[in-house]
Amino acid sequence: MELDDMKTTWEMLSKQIDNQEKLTNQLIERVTAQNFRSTLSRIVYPEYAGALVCYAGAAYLIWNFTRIDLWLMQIFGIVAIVLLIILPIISFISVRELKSVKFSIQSYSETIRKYARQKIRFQKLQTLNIALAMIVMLTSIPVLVNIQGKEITSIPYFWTLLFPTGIALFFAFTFWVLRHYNNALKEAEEVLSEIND
Amino acid sequence: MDIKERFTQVIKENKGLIFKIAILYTNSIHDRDDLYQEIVYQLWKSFPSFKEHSKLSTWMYKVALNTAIYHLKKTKRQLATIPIEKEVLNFGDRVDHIHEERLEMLYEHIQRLSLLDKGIILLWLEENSHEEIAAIVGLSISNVGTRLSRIRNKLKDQIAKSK
Repeated sequence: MELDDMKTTWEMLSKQIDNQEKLTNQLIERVTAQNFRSTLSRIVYPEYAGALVCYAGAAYLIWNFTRIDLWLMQIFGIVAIVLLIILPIISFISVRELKSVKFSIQSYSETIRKYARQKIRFQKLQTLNIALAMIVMLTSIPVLVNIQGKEITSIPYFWTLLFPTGIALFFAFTFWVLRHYNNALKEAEEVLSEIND
Repeated sequence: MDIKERFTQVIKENKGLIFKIAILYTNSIHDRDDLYQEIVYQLWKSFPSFKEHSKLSTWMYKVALNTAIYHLKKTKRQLATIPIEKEVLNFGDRVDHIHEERLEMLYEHIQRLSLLDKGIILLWLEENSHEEIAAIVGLSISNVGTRLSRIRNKLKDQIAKSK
């Protein structure tokens, strides 16, 4: 296939598309309706769901704070509450950036640049999120056990099996996520360097 | 004519443009239709702010291409690494196998290009002038010319290697 063939093929595609009645009045009706939900805005739903879980966790800890009797556990509790409030805020920063994109004003190269920069910032924030989530997990487990009125050492196999397994799984998950993020980060950086070329 | 009627007319007259962008930036029927709908929605949202004195196609290309980039975020996929579903390109009533094969090959070669190059070559295939491409992409006219010849060479190499 030569470049001229490419153009001919593209022209044929254009004719083919013009001939078919893909677009219907119903689609325009649906899209222009007041209650139409953009598919792009649905990207933020998992962020909202995660925030809800975090705030529910924080509310539970605050509600039961008086039941925590050991001072060390109280410190752990405060750390967990603060982090559970901070984590969703970090996610919302990336959501706000997505909503600030002006599709009709920005040029294509400007949008690519913005998209790549957002992606880089998002990957970095996610890395921070993972580290913070690790701290939340480590601090909230003993606190939750304390709220139940139990001693962490009284749970069978806690130190020998449950705790090491939990940590190992968390590290495996973190490793997998970070590898994915690093690849995405590399791609985004390549896009930026290519556009600045 | 009210705004909705005007919008419907504009979309109907330019449905091919939206559809071709939706094809090039997705790899499944579901994503293609999703992006198509999203572009129409973003056009509708910005239609009131569209100034009649600026060129309609420039505005449409800008909105459609910019929406396509953010749609990548939704699909969270690297297009170049995932083969296209055959049905994405098969939408005509008549089946022309040679044309379909060529179309598939064209799609494959364009997919290997970077996001910026993909947009530029799409606009070139759509017979836009260097000035128009520069206005949509946001580069200088001379930069568009340089990039176009570089992309054409890249495509030639890709085509030669695939033979």
